[in-house]
Amino acid sequence: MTSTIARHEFRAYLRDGRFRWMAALVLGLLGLAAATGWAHRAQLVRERGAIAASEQQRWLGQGDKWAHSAAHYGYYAFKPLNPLASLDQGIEPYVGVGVWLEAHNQNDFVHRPAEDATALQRFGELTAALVLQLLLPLCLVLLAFGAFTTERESGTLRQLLASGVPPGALARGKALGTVAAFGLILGPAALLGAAALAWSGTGAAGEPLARFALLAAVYLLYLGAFLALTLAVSARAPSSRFALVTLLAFWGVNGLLAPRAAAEFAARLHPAPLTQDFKQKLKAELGDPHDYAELQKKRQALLDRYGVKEEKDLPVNWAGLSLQMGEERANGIYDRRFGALFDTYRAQNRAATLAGLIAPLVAAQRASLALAGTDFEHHHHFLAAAEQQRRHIQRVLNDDLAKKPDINGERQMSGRDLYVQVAHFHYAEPGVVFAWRHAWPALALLAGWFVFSASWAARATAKLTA
Amino acid sequence: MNARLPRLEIVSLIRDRAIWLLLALLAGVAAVSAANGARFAAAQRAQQAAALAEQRLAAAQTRARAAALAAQPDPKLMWWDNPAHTAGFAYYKMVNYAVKPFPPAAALAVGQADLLPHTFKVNIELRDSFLNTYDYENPHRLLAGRLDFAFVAIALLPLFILALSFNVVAGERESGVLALMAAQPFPLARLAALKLALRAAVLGLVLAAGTLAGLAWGGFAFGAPGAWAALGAVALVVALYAAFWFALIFALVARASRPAVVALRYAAVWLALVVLVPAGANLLVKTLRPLPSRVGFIDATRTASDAAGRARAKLVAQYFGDHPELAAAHGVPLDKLPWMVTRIFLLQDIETRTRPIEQAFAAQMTAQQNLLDRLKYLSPALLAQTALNDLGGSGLARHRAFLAAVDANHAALRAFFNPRILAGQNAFADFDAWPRFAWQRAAAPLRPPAGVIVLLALLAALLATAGLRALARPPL
Repeated sequence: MTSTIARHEFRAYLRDGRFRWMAALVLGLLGLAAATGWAHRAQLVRERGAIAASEQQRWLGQGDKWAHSAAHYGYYAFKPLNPLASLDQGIEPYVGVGVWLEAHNQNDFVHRPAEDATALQRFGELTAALVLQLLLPLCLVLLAFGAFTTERESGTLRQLLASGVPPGALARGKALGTVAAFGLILGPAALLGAAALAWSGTGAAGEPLARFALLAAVYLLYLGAFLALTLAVSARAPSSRFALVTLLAFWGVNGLLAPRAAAEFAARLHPAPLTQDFKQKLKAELGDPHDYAELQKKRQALLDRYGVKEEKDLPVNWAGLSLQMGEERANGIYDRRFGALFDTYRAQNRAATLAGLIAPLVAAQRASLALAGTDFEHHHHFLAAAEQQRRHIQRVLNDDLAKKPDINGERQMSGRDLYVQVAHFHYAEPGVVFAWRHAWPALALLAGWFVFSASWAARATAKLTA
Repeated sequence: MNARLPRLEIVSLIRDRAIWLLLALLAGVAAVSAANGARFAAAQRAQQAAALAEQRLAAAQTRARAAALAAQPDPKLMWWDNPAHTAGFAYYKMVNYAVKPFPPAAALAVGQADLLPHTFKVNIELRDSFLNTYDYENPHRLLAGRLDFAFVAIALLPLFILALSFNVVAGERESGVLALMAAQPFPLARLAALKLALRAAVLGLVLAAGTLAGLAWGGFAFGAPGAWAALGAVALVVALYAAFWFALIFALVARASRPAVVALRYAAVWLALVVLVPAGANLLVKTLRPLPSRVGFIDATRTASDAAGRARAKLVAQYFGDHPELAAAHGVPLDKLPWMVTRIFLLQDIETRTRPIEQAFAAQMTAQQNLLDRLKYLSPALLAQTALNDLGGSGLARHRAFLAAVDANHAALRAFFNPRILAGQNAFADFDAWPRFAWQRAAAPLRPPAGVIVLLALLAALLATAGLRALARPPL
């Protein structure tokens, strides 16, 4: 019985001009978004790979100089992008493209792409995520809002129930028919995506294929919840008009209002410091790394430690030691102040994810970002690795400097021999387990939505009356 | 009879609990969004005030330190720690902020203001050293976008209009009473227009009340200069934008057989104009007018720095060869000139080498904006949003004017300090004379562009006329 109804429903969809139009629109937009996203990401990866190699060459070929000058020469680190960023670019446009690793300063990421974009970007970028999160649920609503109300209004529901069709079988059939119809859109798209990832290398960093499988589960749960909700509302609504307006209102609150309201609510709940205030306090605490009085104090401390009166009698170069002491002091300040700032962001993100309790899109977005590797946690993972590299560079250079006291008041130069001792920055992208650790709360909320919606739909359709 | 119909319509509106619910939701969302925007603008102004306070404090401290050094010189003091040394002041001790003020309408239309930098600490180093600054913000919040009044007006208000109005006439047609109504002496077109006008009035009142309450809640300064003019300008844009959507639904209800059909068609148009056209236009702008790569820019700057480093000695020799009197002032051979002097040549050479890339960026950004200026006519949502952004002060034209003023200040600072450093005039006491940032045309526009106003009004009028014509001979 269920399969007969499902086949009938499926065929009805295929015959429906609205479905064909929507399917063409969704497939077209999905294909366009994925293709442009893929090309954009490929270009970024090429550019970042090329400049990473150039930076390494520049670092090694910077010539002989005082080690601290080399520390200020530094180099840029660029974040790699998971292939899934082509489906959901997430926060990438809102964080910079790279960070300069130099002495003393934990620099900000520079050149945020969003700053170069026009005001259009705030309407939403055309990405596969936008199509799946916003457009497809709307198509589901517009096509399925009348699943039961139209049958009731046209009198066919009475006939069906009178002829002994169990309401549950009717509901399951309609759900399966709708799933099959939408599967025609999503199935090939998902297969194409998986094939593209497989073709680009299953062994790629960040385990994109495993992430893709989880991402598919996220969207299946999200769209499944939307379909179940649509059927439940349609079963309970007194008219098609009521069902449509109720579902459109839910779609609007879920898709438009909730993500922004959640972010605002979270920011009010866990306020971050104002940037000017943060920077002023940070600067005041760090002080000037070249501060004359401070340097003299450190120098005297070193002379006392070695029990000598003159700097020339030191067996080490005090500049190297004091610079490293300064680095370590600054590292503690950076860790504490930026750590507190990032903890505030994390608290905001946790609070915002909770809005997934009332809006499944929020949960779907958060899970999608985590799995695509384009959320704050992935960004922070790179940030921390780059900062560790910066500290490694300073340690190597300052240790070398400390071993080379000035000769007759002249600084000793360093060269390539020293630069090669700095380990090449190789960033290991986190794998699927890392992504899962940050995606599971949102994924659990989505699963909750799916179970709730499906059971509501089952209850609503079990009581179906003509 | 004619007078009773409006009264009956008002009574039926008042009795509809769903409408009360909708209006309460609209008032709430408008209030929250307006309060959010007001708090955002106030926080940004507070940041700028803190920056300017830091500048005043630094100026006072610098003077005091210079006076103390004049009274009791410290021979061990290094030049970079000395505010009374020209290079020490110019490179290290000068605090000079450039700020882009937030106009009153920024409280209603945040636009790009949470992304675009608004405060720069301008110095005599490379432009990049102070332009690459931004407010720290949770990137997830930037991605979501601000819940401001402009978002409510552009994206959500059309949906409230749909929910309030989709069964006007179409509902009567579906229930079969339209024929009866058409038989009344009150023309059907006027009745439909009256119903929608009533809804528009109620919606407008609720939106205005919610917004004003939200602004008061968020601490908006109603008494600030230009505050009411800004509110009026925003209200005008939003009123015309809402008129477009009311006119659209009027045209749809006049023809559709059922309210569900009206809702479907209206939702499709909303989706196209508010989501798909802007997203498509964005893609088009990025594809047809792609910006040069920022990664490439970093690469080029690094290459230019290395090349300039290698060319520095030659440039120094060339300059002081032409100005031997300046070389003599330093009292050292050219290869022993201090960092503060040779750095001037390095910075200028790097900028000369990277200027073509910066010009390519600027040209392509202008090309993007020109294309967007044409594409915005594809959607009333784009027209209204760009007009609100301009009023809120985060429009691209104003930002670029701000950047131009920053560049002018940067150039003026160099013109002031560099000749002194090159001439070896190390003693510095002109604390009042160095060029502060000044921006003569800092105010955001107070009126929306006339073209946008006329176009929105024209579109609304066209759709309303189509509705009126359809209802003159309505399908019953």
